[in-house]
Formats: sequence, structure tokens, C-alpha cells
Amino acid sequence: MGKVQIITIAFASLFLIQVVYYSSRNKLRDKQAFLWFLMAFIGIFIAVCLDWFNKIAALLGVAYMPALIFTIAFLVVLNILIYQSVTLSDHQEKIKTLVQEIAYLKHELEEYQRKGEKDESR
Amino acid sequence: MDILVIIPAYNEEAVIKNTVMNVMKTCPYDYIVINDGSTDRTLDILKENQFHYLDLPVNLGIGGAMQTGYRYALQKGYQYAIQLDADGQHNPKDLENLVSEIKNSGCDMVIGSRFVQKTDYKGSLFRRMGILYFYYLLYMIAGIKITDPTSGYRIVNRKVMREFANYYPVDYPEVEVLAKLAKKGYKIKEIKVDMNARQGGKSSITPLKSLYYMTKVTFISVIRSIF
Repeated sequence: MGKVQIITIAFASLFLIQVVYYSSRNKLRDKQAFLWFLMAFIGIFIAVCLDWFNKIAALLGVAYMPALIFTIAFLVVLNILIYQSVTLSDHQEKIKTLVQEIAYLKHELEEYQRKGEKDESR
Repeated sequence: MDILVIIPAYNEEAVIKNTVMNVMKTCPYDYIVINDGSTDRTLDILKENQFHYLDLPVNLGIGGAMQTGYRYALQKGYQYAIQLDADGQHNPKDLENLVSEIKNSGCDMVIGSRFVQKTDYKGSLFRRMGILYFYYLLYMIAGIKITDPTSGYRIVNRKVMREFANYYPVDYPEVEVLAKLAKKGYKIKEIKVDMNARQGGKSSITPLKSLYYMTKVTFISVIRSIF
């Protein structure tokens, strides 16, 4: 096992520990925690099986193996970003609905209070 | 009364009182001001004058504010809802025409247009070009001819209110909702209205925002018309 591989495994493991830490403290919700667990394990798998990637790169005609890993990583990150954007849009929509409901309920409450005050003054 | 006038307001302290007073004076319909998280004295003015209002705790944008109004109208059982801008550009004297047109024509939406007949409206060349652009865009993607697609002065029936309660674009909603309604087979008509110049306050539309508006509306409308 080369120096580079040891460093890569160490960083991937640190990333896994980070995910475990956030998950255990409920800073990551189940769905998100699972996604990042998956990413962390893939990271460790790639670090452990670097030699395989050399072979895969050669099979695909990629002369420089890290370029293959970077391309895959870039595509994965891009997909995660889109997924996060979708989640964010969904949350924005929900927040908007909540804000509208609050405004409506505030209005109803004020109407009732006004009616109550009028009844009391009679 | 089965008609509600919805007045979305964001930082309109200079004009909101006059606009609401004009509506109250000129027409017998109910109204509701949607204070869209204003940071100026708009909310104080609404309270001081005991106007009817809904107060959004944060700014949702024109689409979010209008959707609040439509949801309110639905919940309260109104048959028709009219959008009227708080800046005084929409003349309340045209409200009657919009109401009688939607009732008599059987359309689902009637738009107050500056261009369907000749009016005194004089917009900038850039604005007129933008409106013309949206006219052709709508014709291409939805097959309807709307001379004033950016006009916010419009009345809708309960069927459309239900659509809007489910989905209403957050920003710059006017053109996008027309494409959506037309594709779903709703009937839309235009009648002539006179529009005033802004009666006070500052427009939030800048040249950069206009560019964003045109690009965003084109992209979203084309995508949604294809898929």
C-alpha cells in the first residue's frame, strides 16, 4: 500500500467520522445522513481499491487515472447539488404556504378579537 | 358580495391610503390588502385606517402575495377575484367593466388591457418592446393573442382561483400564468382599461430585473409548454 493510498484512506475515513458525528447529533436528517454515508463508503472503497481504478482507466483508454476519478466525483457532486436544489425549492414552497397560513390565521384572530371587543362594549 | 379586490402592497406607504380609499369610493366590492412584508409604514397606515388586510410576516414577492389573496378569496367563498396594484396605476373605475365582462362573457379570466384599443397610455419604448415580445411568445407557445400580457389588472373566476391556489409563480407571474391557463383550456379575454402613471413610491423593476424577467419567463414558459 503506497503513501498516497494511505493518505486517501485516512481522509475518506475522516469524512465518514464527520458524517457519523453529524448524524448522531441529529444535524443531518435520516435521508441526508444516508446519502452522505453512502458517499463516505464509496470514498473509502475507492481509496482501498485504487489499483482497480488503474485497470478501469486503462480499459476506458484514460491515460491518467485520477482524471477518471475526478470526472466521476464531479458528476456525483453535480447530481447531489441538483438534488439539494430540488429539496431547497420544495422547502421554499412549504415555507411560503406556512407564511400564507400564518397571515390568514392572524387576520382571523384579529377579526375575532375585534368582534369580542365590540360584544363586550355593548 | 361575491367579488373580492386583492391589492398586493410592498413598501407602498406613499400611495396605499389613496388607492384603498379610491376602491372604497368607486366600487361596492370587498377588498383585501396583502401587505407583503413591507419595511416602511405601509402596515401602520393599514392599521391606522382600519383597512382590511392580511399581513405576511416576510416578503414573498408579488406571486406569493397574490396567491395569498386568491387562497383567502377561495376560503371566504368569493366567486370572483380582481388584482389591483397598490401603486395607483389601475383605475378603480374600470372595475365595473371587468366584472360585467367576466359575468356576461363566460370567460374564466378578463384582463384589463392598454393595447386592445387605443388609450392614452405612453410607456417607454423598451417596455413596449417587452410587451410585444411576450405577445408573440404567448402566441407561439400557447396559441393565444393577448395584447397586454404583462397587465396585472385582471379578474378571475373561482375555477381559476383554485388553479392559482395550487400553483402561482413566485416572481413575475403574469405571462407564465396566461400560458398555463391557455394550455389548460381556460377562456381568457381582454377589455380596454385606462392606466395611470404610478401615483407615488418607487417601482421595483430595474433594467437588469427586466432582462431577468424576460429570460426567466421565456425559459420557464417554453419548458412547461413542451413537457
